[in-house]
Amino acid sequence: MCCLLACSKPKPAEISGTEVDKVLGEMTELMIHDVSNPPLAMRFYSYACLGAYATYVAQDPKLPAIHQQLNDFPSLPSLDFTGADPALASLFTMMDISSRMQPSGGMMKAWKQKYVDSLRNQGFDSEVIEKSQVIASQISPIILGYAKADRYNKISNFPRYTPSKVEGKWYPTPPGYFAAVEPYFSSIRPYTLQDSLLTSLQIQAPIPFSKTKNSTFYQASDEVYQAGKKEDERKIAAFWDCNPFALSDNGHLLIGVKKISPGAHWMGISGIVCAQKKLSFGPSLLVRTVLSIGLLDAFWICWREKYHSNRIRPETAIRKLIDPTWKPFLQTPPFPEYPSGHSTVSSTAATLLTKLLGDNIAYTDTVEMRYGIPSRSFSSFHHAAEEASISRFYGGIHFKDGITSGQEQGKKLGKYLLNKFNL
Amino acid sequence: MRYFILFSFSFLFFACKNEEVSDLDTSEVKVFELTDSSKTQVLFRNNINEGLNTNVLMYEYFYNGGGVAAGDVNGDGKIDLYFTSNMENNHLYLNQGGLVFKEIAERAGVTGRPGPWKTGVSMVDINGDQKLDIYLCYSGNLPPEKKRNQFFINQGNDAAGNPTFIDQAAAYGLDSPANSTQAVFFDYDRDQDLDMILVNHNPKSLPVLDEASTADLLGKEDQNSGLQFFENPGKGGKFILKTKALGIQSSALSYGLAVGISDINQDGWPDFYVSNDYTIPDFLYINQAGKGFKNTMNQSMGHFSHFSMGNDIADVNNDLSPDIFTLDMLPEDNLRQKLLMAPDNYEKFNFNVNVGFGHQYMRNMLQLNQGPERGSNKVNFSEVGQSAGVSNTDWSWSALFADYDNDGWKDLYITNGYLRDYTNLDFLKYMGDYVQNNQSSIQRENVLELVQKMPASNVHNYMFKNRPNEAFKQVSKPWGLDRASNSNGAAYADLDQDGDLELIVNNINQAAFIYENKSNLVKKENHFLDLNLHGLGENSLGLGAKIWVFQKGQTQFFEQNLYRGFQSNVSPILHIGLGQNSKLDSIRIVWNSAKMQVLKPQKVDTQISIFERDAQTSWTYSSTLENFFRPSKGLDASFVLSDVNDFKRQTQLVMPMSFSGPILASADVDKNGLLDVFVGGSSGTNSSLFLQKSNGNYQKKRFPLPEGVEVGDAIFLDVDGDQDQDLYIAAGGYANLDEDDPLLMDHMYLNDGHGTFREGALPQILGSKSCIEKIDLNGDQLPDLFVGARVIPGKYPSTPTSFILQNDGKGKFTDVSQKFPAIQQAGMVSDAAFADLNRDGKSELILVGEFMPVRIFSLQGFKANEITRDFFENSPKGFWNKLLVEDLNGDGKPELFIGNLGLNSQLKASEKEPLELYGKDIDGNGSIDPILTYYVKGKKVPFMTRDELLDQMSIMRTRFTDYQSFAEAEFKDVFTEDELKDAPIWVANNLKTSLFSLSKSGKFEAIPLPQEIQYAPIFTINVLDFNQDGKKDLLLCGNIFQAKLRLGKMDANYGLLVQGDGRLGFKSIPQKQNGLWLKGDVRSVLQDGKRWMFGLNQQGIQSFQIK
Repeated sequence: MCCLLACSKPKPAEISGTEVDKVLGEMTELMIHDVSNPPLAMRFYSYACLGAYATYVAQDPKLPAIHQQLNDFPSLPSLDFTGADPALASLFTMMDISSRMQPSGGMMKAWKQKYVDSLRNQGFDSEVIEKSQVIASQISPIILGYAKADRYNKISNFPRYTPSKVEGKWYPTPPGYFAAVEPYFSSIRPYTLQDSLLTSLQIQAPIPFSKTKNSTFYQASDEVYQAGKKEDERKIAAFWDCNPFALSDNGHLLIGVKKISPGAHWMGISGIVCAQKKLSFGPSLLVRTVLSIGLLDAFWICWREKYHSNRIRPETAIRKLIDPTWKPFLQTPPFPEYPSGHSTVSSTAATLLTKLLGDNIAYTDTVEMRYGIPSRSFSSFHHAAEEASISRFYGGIHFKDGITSGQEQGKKLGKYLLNKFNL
Repeated sequence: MRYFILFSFSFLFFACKNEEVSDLDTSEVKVFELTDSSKTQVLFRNNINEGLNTNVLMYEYFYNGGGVAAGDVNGDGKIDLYFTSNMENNHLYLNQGGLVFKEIAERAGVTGRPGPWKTGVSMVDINGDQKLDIYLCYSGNLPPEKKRNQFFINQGNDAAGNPTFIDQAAAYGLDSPANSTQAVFFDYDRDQDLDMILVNHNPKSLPVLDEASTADLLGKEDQNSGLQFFENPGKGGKFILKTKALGIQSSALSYGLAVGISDINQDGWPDFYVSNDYTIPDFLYINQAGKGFKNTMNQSMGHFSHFSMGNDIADVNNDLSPDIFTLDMLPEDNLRQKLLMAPDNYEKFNFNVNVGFGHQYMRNMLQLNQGPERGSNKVNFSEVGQSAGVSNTDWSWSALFADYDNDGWKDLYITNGYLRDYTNLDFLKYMGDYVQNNQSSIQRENVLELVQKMPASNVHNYMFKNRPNEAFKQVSKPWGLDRASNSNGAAYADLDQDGDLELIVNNINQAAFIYENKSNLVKKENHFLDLNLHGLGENSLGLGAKIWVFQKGQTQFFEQNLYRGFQSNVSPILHIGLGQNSKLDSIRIVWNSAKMQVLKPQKVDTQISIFERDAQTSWTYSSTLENFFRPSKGLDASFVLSDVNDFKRQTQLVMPMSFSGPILASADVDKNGLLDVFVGGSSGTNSSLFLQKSNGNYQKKRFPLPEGVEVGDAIFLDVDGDQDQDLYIAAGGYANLDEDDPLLMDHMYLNDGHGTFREGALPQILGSKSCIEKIDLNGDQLPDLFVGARVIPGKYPSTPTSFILQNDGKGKFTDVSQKFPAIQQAGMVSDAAFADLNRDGKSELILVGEFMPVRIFSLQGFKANEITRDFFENSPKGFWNKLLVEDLNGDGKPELFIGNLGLNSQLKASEKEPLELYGKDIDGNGSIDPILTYYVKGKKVPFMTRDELLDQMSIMRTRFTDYQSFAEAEFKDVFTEDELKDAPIWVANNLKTSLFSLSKSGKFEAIPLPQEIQYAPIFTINVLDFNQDGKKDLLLCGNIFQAKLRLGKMDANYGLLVQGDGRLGFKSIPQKQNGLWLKGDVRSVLQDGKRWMFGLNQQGIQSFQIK
């Protein structure tokens, strides 16, 4: 029986677009375990997707060569796909990049082994697997080299962030008073942005800090203070929390409560809709690649402004101005307020996904069900992005103008990317 | 046989190299023997049953354990024992003699209420009927009626000779329903009845605190959480709650785990110290002559334990004043340290300092009482736990100082352990992977499941043997006390009446320990005396009595207080070890009432009773010590506080670099016969010149040095031979400066002869520098200069370039450094001297610095020859800060006195186990990665935590994916050989401030110094003769307030005066006599006749007049 199966060489199962989600899912697991911060998580996703895409596109000229439009993208060798499965090769590239870049990459290696075993069990030809791996081994070092040159590893050369003592500036927040997350993220190379473009993506300055009662800032603080009291507002806030590491503080018993990051959430949404639309491997990979590259740049530009304006969080402002005992519904993440990262990222994501997958696509978001958060249905990507943005206000971690400016920034960036990639 | 010899040799070698005692140490005999519970019949164990409603999430002090009370409850002269159980019945054991006991709690009516949550216990004779009563505390997250404390009043023995008790807490007004840890009794107002402090704690976690909410909470009284003070009205009346009226804070911000009582300031009025857990600071309440209390914590202690648990107060160093010891959680070994150490968080730390919570660090603190400041009842302390070797004992509960081996010095027993070791960082970061989140609150079940998977910390308790003039010696194992346990309350008592102290320990989920002390057999050479005190009135135990025991060559000091350690009380019989001297000159006893008597016991090795009613005289407390230094008028220089943090520039910098000022230099610049003073500026503060006028006042002038220049050093000298004092200024600084910042350029100013300066020309002398030394390169008598470089900003520990400048006699300097490459690249230089060490008529250049050996160069014919080896076989490498070359004993030969880091920090170094600093760009990302290694328990490990490593080198994130793997790693496992290839290694093998004297062979040898010198880093050394005996004395100052958090503020030095005997023998003058109370980093000291000026970093100049 066994021999029969092996000898008859059935046509191997075709690798579908949803296989990408399996690898991304495992990458997400690793990120949760390692507590990879939101911008850094996006860096992992994007290089992995880019590597996979660069592999696959080499044998599918119908797909747009977006990778060649990226800053300093290296030239790639020509690849011989004879006897290989391009989709598998590209999945291997993805896994190899992840296992080299992510702290717990060793777990990805083990996962890859299991994946290969299951392919074999499904009747995949060992030779095809091997040949596909050969291709992956040609591409992944080049992408890893490209990643290494993005200056992320130079960040530790900078002085550690010192919060400004000026009133109205950001200071680490309770309960952990964690150090600022990635204050130099915009010193790394973005994928598409250029200095000359930055003015066109500029957002206005946040409303100035003031302690006087009738000031715009005081009112903005009071607005946050009043918000998020309704049940459905709290549901929305909790649904979009996406805080990779909230500290639960019970005296000596401290526990980190972990969730996926905003980028991971949108990667998950793209997977749901790609599957819903039954996209084949190539187009599905294109969606993830454009999305991950776009979101890395979204974090880049957002973080640049965050550490430029260094604005105080509502938690600190409200405790100072309104109520010394106030606590936001969500735990304040450890970086400056303006603009809201979730707003920027979600708006860019919605802009890109709407163009790539269509407008008014209803879907049910089940991404965080495995973390105990119930599913939620949306009528479109923009609907979801709107809700994700305002959730930060309900959660008490952002001012209104941080949200609207983030949305504006995210949309502008999305349009710029679509234009750049000619999509 | 040959093998055997080899083997034993290697044993010896091992024993020598390890400061700590291993099992192979034969100098210690086994002092304690764990008794068998089947023989003693003490079957008590504190069983903790975890369930859905009884667990650490419901009540966070779920694993704090129970207590032990020791005292004779049935009047048969033998010490009985009482154990508290958190969840089950308490036990009372009557001592039957011969270490056999009988349990009678139920019959005696003292089991306590069934079920949770019983905590601390205290025996006391509250009504003066000579019978011991028992006060029992309750806590837990429970309704008030379940938390009411009980007070079992002893009704005397029944027909069978068993004592009986009745709970009369309500009748006494002491049935408080607060969350109590323990009650302590003392007579604060000296009215001969006993008042009570109830130590309480908040059963809930600390809320989020900032300035506003802290003030808000502190303003609100919360008697349930805060300390309660009950005054005894006397005559059997109900106790009166007087907390607020006596000025004692009682708010929700209270996690009180222990109160220690002592007359800290020796004014006759008992004071008390409160240990608070978490971020809440400890309190030191000073008794205001019986009328109230004042918390003087902020002025008295520069830093203290963070998570303070138990404490004890006793005279640890036999200097006759009580010292305070508090417990915390810092583990001893590298593995547990690396698992527990959260990354340094300066923002969080500064936040707490700004809120007013002080400088708190996670380690045990031994606060040496330095005495009150003149004319004040506030006491200052020097914290020396690390140099004493008692700072790291893991999650610790009870500390008990007593003389366990009867050698005349109080040893230290510490219990520790935690049933669920969840402070582990892997738990925090990785265990939560699957803790599911439901609308922002964690599911209780999930957490409990995780918590219950956590193993117990299961470490052994600690015993430290006290040794005069050196660190305590850890003897847990050789003394037979190294059994793993989770132990909490403990007590000592001579249970078998054989003249030594047994230890009784309450354990969680394990039988209580009774350790029999065998000193009567194995330390027979030592003698003892037991005192049974009988006080007047209702203070029958003589609480608060002070006892001085005078023997030839030694005096010991004791205070009668039973409530020591944690949730427990020790035996009321005061035990005194006498050492090998069986003769006792006298005993002076001063009762709490100040009544006094002096006894001359003829016999030792026995128990004697002393009665207050026999006291005929009174003791007069006085504090009129003559001070050598008195504060005086001086120059008024103010400094802008800098908020730079050097560890943000380079996280792996070992010591801070930016805080080297203020530099003081003096000369008579305007030729009026009076010394004028230059005060060097720092970032944000300009340099000034203070011209002294004939009335002794100073006229301040802004010195024309460009703004922003941080002065690294400055000297006055006549550079151009015009007979006036010119000024050379070396630039320093670190945090905000680039490597080649123009602010790092040196400057020279020429005097017009009347004290007006204009800038003269200098070649480009660029770098962060520390010292300037006048040298003579060519024997032309013109002042040439050595300018020592300290550091390259941002590139520590790369070697900075030092300079040699040649003077042409007209004020023109030429940079001739290139001719002296060895000097140029000597290291991170901190100080230099030019002196003739080999007495060949020519002076040598001596250099010291951080991670540098003492280096000696001869300068001849424009060539430098290193001749260090002529003076040192192995020149000691240290964190040298300051160098003095001086003939201290008047034999015509110079000594070297060199300031170093000292021994009071987590950093230890010896020749065999040095500190090593690797300075290489390991990950090739363009920045130096300084990696400090040290030895912990014989293994070379990285000093940095995993978080710091990952932050320094992102490539390490894949290498150590959890804390456990990094905690287990030795240094050799962290980096590959290839990564360390060609890495420069800096070494330090001597951290002591040291005195070197030339021996007959012409080599320097180290001369022992008093241990007080090693309590803090020394940055200034001055020679004086304060007692005018014609012999040179020394004044040593220093401290490092801006040290990295992991090491903590080093502040034990208040300006140490050391008296010399003219033969290189030195002894420290007690601080209260010396009169200096310099609280800060002293970086410069200037003498002008009888006026002494001290430059304190970022604070200003303090002036004193010497007697």
